Amino acid sequence: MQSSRVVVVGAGVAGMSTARSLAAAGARVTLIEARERVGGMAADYACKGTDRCNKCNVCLVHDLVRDVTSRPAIEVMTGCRLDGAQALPAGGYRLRVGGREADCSAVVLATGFEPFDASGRPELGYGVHPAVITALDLERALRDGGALEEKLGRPVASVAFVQCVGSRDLRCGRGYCSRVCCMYSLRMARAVRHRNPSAEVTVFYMDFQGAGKDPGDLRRKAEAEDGVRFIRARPSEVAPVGDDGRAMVWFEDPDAGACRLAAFDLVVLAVGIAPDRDARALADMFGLGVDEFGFFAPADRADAAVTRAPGVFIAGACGGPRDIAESVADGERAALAVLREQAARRARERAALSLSAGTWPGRRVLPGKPETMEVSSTVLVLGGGVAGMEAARMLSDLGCRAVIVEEGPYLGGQAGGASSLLARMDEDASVDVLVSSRLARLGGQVGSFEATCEGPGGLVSEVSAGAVIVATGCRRELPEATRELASRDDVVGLSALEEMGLPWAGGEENDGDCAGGGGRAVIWVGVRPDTARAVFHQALCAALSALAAGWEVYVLAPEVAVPEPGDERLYLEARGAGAVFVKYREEPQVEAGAALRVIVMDPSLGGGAGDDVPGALAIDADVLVVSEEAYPQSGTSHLATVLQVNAGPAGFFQDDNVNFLPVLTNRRGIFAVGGCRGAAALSDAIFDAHVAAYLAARLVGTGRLHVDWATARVDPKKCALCLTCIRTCPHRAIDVDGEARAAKVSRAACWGCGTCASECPGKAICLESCTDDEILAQVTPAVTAFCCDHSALIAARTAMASGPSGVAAAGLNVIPVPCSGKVDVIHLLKAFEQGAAAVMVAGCFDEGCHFLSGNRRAHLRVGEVASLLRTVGIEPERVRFYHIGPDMSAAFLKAAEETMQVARELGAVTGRRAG
Amino acid sequence: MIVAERKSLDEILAMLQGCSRVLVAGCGTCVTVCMAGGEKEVGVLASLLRLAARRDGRTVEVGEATVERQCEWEFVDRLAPVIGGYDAVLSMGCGAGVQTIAQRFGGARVLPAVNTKFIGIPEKQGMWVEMCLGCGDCILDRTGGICPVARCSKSLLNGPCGGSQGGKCEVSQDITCAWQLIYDRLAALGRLDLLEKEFAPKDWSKNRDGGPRRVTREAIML
Repeated sequence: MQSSRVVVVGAGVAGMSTARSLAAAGARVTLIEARERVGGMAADYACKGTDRCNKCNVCLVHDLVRDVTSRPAIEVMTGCRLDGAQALPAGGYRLRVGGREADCSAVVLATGFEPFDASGRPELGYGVHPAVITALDLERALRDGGALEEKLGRPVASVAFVQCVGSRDLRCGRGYCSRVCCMYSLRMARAVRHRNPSAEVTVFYMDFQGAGKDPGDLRRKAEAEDGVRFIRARPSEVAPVGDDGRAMVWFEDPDAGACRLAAFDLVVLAVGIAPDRDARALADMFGLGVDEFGFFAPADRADAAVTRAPGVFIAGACGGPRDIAESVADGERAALAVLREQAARRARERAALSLSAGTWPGRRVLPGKPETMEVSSTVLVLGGGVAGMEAARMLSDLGCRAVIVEEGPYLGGQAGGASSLLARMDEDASVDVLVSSRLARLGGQVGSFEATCEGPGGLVSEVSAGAVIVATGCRRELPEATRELASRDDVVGLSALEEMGLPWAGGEENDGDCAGGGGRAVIWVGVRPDTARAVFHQALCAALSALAAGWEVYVLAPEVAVPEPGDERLYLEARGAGAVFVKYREEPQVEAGAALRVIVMDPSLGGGAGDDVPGALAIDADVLVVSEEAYPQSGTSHLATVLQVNAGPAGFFQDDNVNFLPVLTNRRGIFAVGGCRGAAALSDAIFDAHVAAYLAARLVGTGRLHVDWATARVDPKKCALCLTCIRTCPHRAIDVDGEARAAKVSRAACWGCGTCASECPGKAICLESCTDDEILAQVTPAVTAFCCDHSALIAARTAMASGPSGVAAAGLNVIPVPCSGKVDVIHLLKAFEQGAAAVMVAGCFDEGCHFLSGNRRAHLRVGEVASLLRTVGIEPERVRFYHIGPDMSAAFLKAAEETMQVARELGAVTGRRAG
Repeated sequence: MIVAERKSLDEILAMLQGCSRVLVAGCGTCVTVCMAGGEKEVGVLASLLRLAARRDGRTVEVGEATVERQCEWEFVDRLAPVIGGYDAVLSMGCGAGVQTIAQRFGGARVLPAVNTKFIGIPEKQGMWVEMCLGCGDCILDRTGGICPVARCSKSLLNGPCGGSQGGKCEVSQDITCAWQLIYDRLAALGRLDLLEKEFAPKDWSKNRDGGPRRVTREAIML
């Protein structure tokens, strides 16, 4: 009989995520890792939290490590390599791992990447000048939150980041964008400034490749708050200078139009992502394809986890550059692909897709048997565009019933949708469709939502659903500045281009004055950084097709966004074919008379000091193509109220919080996919839809949900129905129980942060695993640190394990809490009552709380306790709040030292002190 | 609900001068809901009293007890087994609660820990506003459901006065002019005609003019 075990090769982010996901779906997993520890490259990275979370995602690695090492369904083998593989006749593989043979049904390769070897660019001086380091070196130096100068052994008063080292560089065979470097440099720049507030940071870059929910905000803050300078230049050389050991960077100053030299204490090379050196051997072992750069190639671009070898899947950066959040999501995708293939193998037992009743990883698990709840395996899908239909299709494949609610009269949405998909919606008995309908009300909680939908003619349908997938898309409109041009024939939106007929296709449609047979097209991509990568591919395709038709092409954009696979190649192709790319700083002006004239300042044409002619370019255009900006659908805020989910940046669904990526919202069982959570390319929207369908199916697909995590419970006898908990719960997991006349926590919906328990004025709520009695039993007369499980506790444990540090010796009393939001005013006061001379609370960075807002509440409560102490004449500085990332052991030590110093200076709270 | 606010610690400590055994008594109804005197606030205040004593080098024994409603004899009775052991009872209930305990336990020294402020609602979490003065003669039928007696700074019945500027009261920019609200609401309801009939001077005899008030329902009296 074939082994059902799945082997995941590589315990980096993607591998761990795949293993966790498979285990949560009921599979048995072996996770093998060549190093002696799990975590992969990212385990060496540093939390870049400053005054707030900078969305670097590094904390996710710590959660993954905890999850994969604590689940019995996952066997972890470190220090092991995959030495050989032999396909078995019945499917699956016999693997040789560390001298042992093991059979498995599927293999997921998650072997990651190698950072580009910076010595491959010798002119940049890596390994020669001590002032030149790589971004990876800086990651390690930033780790643990200690002083940078000490770690690096040099001053860091002036720091330069050099982008695109080993990326977008044909000289070293890297004709692709590494996708992650702009954002990591930006975050590191902020972290450097935070540690050294007087440091001057300069970023030498080509184009800013934004990623995440709101990269523009991060860049604005870096520029405005931290004074980070962005210089669009690719330094040609780094040379040492003088005795001070500083490094001299040669670059072409775009403002002066001349070469310049600038000296820096530290030059950080933002090295790109290169394929792992063993990738080729693994590819040969399984007969996989690799792309021209050496990354594993999927069999079909539409499903990046599936390879051409049966039973072999890929996840993470071994398939091309990915950031941490993308690698986590990739793990879900790979797990889904594995499960689908296994289901296909057992095609006749459709229901036998081996999903087990859902649990939810990453929370405090209660010992003992989990509580099993009957849940509805129907999933409500809001929006019948491509994302919604893809979600429904996948749900049906996974054995769930889907009900699509579409506001318009037809399915299809903006992209229309392939006819096969539309036909599937029509024929699939597991998919019901309500058109011209909208969700009016949603009651209940995950597993048992009660939806009221209003259809045509006031027809009301009630739908019971276990989960909800929101796929309502976004609204695309021309940017404000060009909106009044929308009615002109010679101005066209980028996404409408193909639908309207390409203006350069066929001479007869082209009525402009064209020189030499072709016309002149201006393509203006002026969208926000978070939407740029979704539209740039289209812009490049448009440019190439116009060039092919013999047209002259100008592409105007603040940044050329090419992080998507293959886009750098298209960009170079377009340039090679004569397209002119203008990277403007000020918005172009359009003179719209009888003809169109676009005026744009091109910084590379000069215009600096001493230049008489500013770098203005006037382009008489036959056609102006403008990329549409993405906006939330007009009903988004109303729908958010109905669903009780939060909106994030720019009003799209989903909070800007790394723990929610890719598709989670603040409510369990409600997922946001595609354009409704921010502008997305069609392929990204489909990916979202599949992941959400998989997560929903894992949660409720079997009709049962195992709640094995700690939740809050209300004592109805003590509940005054003040509604505080209901208003406070970030996850909207509490409702009024009319029968009991008390608040009631839905165990399935509760995330277990305990914020409600600490906020309850009647002390009617307790959190399992962390009750008030349990907390108070740990309070001693020692200086106390309440530490969040997800961040400060990990740092504290590292700090205490790292030898005879002052903390353990002085007996700091560390009390773990699932979230700093569980720490109540009364816990802090009780610690003082017990004789603690000082108390600290340490939690995640703002906007990085696993539970959304627990840390902000904790911070407020610490402030309240400080003022309460003052009212009874006790020094308020005895109570302190710190943001500590999970790797920040040195920062934890510093905070602990500071707190203990306060305790030593002020002494115990006893007797009136002299004076 | 009745909205209250805890007194300053200085004031409470001054009241408690000389007491070495204090019972902090909470109430599980209005003051729990307005977060001034429920079980949690009892714990916080008790903790603060112990810390204050520790700071001053005194010893103090602080008990904690919260009853369902301090304004009911039966609930207050539950304090009977413990109350005798204390020098003072610090009630976190409203004025009615303090007095109920005082009346029930003649020998006990009962002190108020909160100031009873008003009948109101939480405008949002953490902020309460006054809605009703308990004037004894409700006119909300004529004012669009907005009470000028409680919500106009002058309790004007024929407002607004000249101090209403841009919809705000001259007393404070935080106060919306009640008469502006009344006008807007009646306009929205299409009932501005209600404003054409002026109010007669208010009959305050139904309020405090007749002394302490009493409500009697003979049918349910035994």
